[in-house]
Amino acid sequence: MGQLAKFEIPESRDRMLDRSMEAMDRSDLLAYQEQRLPEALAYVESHSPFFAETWKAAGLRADEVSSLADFCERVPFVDKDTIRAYRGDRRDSLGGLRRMEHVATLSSSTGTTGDPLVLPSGYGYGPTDGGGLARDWWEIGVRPGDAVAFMLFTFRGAAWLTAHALGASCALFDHHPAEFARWSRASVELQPTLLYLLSGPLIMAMAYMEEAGLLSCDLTEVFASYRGVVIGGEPLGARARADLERWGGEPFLHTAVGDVGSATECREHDGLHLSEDSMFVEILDPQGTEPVREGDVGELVATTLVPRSANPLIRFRSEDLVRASTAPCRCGRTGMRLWPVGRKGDEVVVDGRSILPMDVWQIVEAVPESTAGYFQIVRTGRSMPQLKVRVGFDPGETGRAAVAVRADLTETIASVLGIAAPDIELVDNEVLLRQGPPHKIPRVVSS
Amino acid sequence: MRAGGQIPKIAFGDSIWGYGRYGADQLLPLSHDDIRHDTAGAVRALRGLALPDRSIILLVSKVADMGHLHPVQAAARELGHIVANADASIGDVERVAMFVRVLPIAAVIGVNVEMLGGMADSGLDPAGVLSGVPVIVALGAACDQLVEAGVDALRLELLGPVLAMECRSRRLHIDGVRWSIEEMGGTLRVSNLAPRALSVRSFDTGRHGRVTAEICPCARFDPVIELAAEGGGTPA
Repeated sequence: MGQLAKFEIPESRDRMLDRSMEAMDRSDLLAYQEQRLPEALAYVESHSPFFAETWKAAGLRADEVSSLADFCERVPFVDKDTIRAYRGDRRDSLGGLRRMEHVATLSSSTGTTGDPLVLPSGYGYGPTDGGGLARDWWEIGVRPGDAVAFMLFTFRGAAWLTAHALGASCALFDHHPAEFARWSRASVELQPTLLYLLSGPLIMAMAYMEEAGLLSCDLTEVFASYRGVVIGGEPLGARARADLERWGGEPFLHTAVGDVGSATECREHDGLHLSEDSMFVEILDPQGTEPVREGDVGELVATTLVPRSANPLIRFRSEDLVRASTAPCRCGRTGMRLWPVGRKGDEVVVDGRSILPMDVWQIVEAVPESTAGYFQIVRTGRSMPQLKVRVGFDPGETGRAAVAVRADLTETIASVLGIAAPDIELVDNEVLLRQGPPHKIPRVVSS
Repeated sequence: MRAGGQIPKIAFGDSIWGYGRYGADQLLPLSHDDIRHDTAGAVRALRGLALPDRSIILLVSKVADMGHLHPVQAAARELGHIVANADASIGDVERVAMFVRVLPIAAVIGVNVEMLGGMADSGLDPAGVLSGVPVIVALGAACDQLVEAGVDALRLELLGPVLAMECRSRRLHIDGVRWSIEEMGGTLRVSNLAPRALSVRSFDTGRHGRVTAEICPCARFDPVIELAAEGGGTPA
């Protein structure tokens, strides 16, 4: 077993796939990042017309940056809009991120907040490139010879190669309720150790089918072999979490990190770990350029340290709002941990109160007819005279009339958030499910 | 063995690449060896599309079908092409449209009926979105729909555990190095010629059709089959 693994496999009981990197002393880690940075910047300057032009316009040459302090002081920020603008102005389909002759694979951003961005990755697979996901899965409990079940979509590329890199195999299922029966049978037969990934909408569908007697299996038996269930797309609502835990599934939250990597919870469930040897992450004032105090909410700004193979993004403002900590985790890892809070463009201010989708989520879930937690804030601007929420609604849940459900939601949201009565629009759950990628709902939309 | 029959149990070990799907809901076990050989077959299938060097191929697929299509993706890379991925589902049609709009896509492979329906639901005209792409390869019924709409689409078929793809000469080939195919009792049956994780002998694909003896103008030596419309008889 394990001879096919691309990593040097440690002892099975070791919680870390690469202890030398994952538990590196923090000062050594910063020195390591500082050492990799000049080479990364030089590569990007010579291979990315977009960054070469952006830096030149800022009067910057890559070889002038020799420290993390220089980097933070001098390198300009970029975001999706600046890349989209370059794409339009220069008629460069890759947004100038990389020249086509150096592209190995094209992926794309999720497209939740607009036209997806084409992300060109390059050739080469260094010892730590893309290793973050493998480290996360090792910590959850994947070992050579195991099976990893993928209930996924294909737009992010061949994620199953990470299973093979660990010497494991993959079992492939669509991210769709129509696959539950085949997945259930395979789970019992193959005894996979990891499910990558489930999402809130899929868990709610599973719960609905269980309740309606549409599943021919006991979900506790199906989940029995899994050491972890990776949750992606958006945070897990309380109702979906309770259902998953009732079946014996242990959720591990997972998020993309500014399209240069990803972060996943460890078994301590105290923040999402990222692999800082392949990326440099800053948490900055969402409206400015200064770092926030550790633990405060800030915008995640990402820089890849492995641009040869990864998406070549430098000081990319992700618009993701997170809290972060660099304190060592109980699992022994020393890298930064994240707690996602929401998206920068998602915040609305009503009656002087800042509101994010997370604030509305649990209130919507607590009402029986909207217990699936499907909703979206309809935004007219950052500041709104009245909160407007579109809520997915299943009248079959209790038989109550829509007018009563609307009154219930209006009163509860107003009282819990301390705002004037919101405008509630009830729609069929399907209307919201069809708006996003398969694993999430756009939680904020323009009116 | 009938389509949809019991799959053989195999030991779970390091020779196993993974499990895809065949038929409506069967597990398709694949070894690393199977994937290597299927990739070699897919190299020949892609050559049959006569794409220019360094083409951009948009592969649209469901994850469960990647047991069949991962070799196509690997073959594309082996040939030096660039692959972009999108999910062949209703929720991902905007991504397909975006890729086709912003990139010089040379081929879209894997278009399915669900995706065409999703485009129509989103107000996108599938023929309008796809007609500018030089090569469209679509699964069975989606191919029929596109051809009816005036799109010059080639056919892709998943015949149980076997993938069949038309070449630019419009002949539907299977990988003749790894599989044999014969008509028996009106339907096409496949057998593996070399050991595979899923070993089948005379697997009934449930599809009516015939194996032709012609030499394909594309110069590919893999067998050529003709399929009748689903549920129909042997083609004339």
